Amino acid sequence: MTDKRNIGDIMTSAIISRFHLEAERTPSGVEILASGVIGVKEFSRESVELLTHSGRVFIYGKRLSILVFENGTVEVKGRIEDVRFGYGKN
Amino acid sequence: MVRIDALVFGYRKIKISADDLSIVTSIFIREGIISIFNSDGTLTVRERDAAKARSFLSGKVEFSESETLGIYGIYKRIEHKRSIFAASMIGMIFVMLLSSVVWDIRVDGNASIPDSQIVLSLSECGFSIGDFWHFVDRGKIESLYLKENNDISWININRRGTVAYVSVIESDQAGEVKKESYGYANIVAEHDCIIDEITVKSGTATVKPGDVVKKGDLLISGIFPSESGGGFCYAEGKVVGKMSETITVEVAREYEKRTRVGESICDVRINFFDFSLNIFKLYGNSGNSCDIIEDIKVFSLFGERRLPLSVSTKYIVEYDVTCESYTDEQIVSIARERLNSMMLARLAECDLIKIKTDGEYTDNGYSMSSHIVFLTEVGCEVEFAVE
Repeated sequence: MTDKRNIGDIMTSAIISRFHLEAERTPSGVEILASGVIGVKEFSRESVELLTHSGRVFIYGKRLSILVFENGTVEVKGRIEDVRFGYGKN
Repeated sequence: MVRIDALVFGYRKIKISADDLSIVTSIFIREGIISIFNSDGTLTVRERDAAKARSFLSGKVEFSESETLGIYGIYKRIEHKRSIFAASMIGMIFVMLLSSVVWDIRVDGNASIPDSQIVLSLSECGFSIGDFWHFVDRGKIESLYLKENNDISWININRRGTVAYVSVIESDQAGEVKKESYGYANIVAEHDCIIDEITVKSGTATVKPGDVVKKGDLLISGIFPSESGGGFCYAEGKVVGKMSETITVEVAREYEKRTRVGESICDVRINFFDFSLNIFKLYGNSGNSCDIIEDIKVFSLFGERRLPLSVSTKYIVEYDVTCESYTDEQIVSIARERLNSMMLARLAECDLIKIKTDGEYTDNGYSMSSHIVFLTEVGCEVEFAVE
């Protein structure tokens, strides 16, 4: 069933943010800044699964928290121990 | 954990179920709502995004929302006392700004150079009371000061609160620099004396204890005798001689007695940093002899931190001058005090052996003299060159 809304009224960005990951050490653990994130599949105290256009990012650790910024930028903070990547369109 | 902009402009805490975390996070990412998510289901949203967040969450998930938190939230809740709150915030900002200003400069380590001269030189290098600490490059000022002033060999500026502590080492104090003896020297007598003790470090002694020498006589030679191989050196050693001297003091019987007649304020100024405001000035001349005394009152916090505020008051103190005479006892006492101070200064680095003091009344007053015999170092270096 298709959505009958007028798509022209929705302001969407024509540029899809490219995926980019940065990590920085902090006193409480590690901060990971990820750009090009379109959603979160799973979020718990020990694991976070981020969705991007072309794959996924699995982050494991302890005491994880998420900061959401604009333009699909997300920061994951906490005692991050393991980062894995998955592939496939979302 | 709250962002600083949320803390200042207000934020809200929204509580959702832990199972809905991933859905809500995805919605906020898609809509660009800046927020902080914790794994226990609480999220923090800025006050200005709260309405937008509420609209996206309504009907999708169950949630509860707190009142506005942060400084803006406090401000909203204090409905009838906002002026007090605003005044408190303005006061805090004012204190924060003033605490980043240099209020006082204190100097230590200086012996012969006065504090005021060092402070003046620092202001010429770009550092003075009233400057903002944030804009002060201490390293650059220290380097510039050393470059412009030869009387200081080391300077360090430390900040403690709003006070600058300047530590200096004067060039004279920077350790006794051993004379670079590229040449040669003899040690000769500085005064007529009888040699009491002679200690030679380098050179050849030409006198012995008990010898009578006159000023200029050779005491330690920098020339080695040919029998011992010859050669030259920079003579070093200590020669102590016995000397005698007479110190005389004369005190006039008549003296001018100044009687304080009155005191009046002639000038009052309020000083704030380098700015001076003259609030009172008295013009005209005084008929009597007078002294002008300036009294500067400085204010401090808790007796420690000096404020950059002072009040300087000038007084005219008028005197009447009359001729008076000392009594015999007074004149002897004054002569004795003056003689003692002169002897203390003369014998500061000497050992006194004998002293004989006499006094007599003269036509003008009283004369007291002490004949002293003492031991002192009498050698001085005289350089010479060899062609």
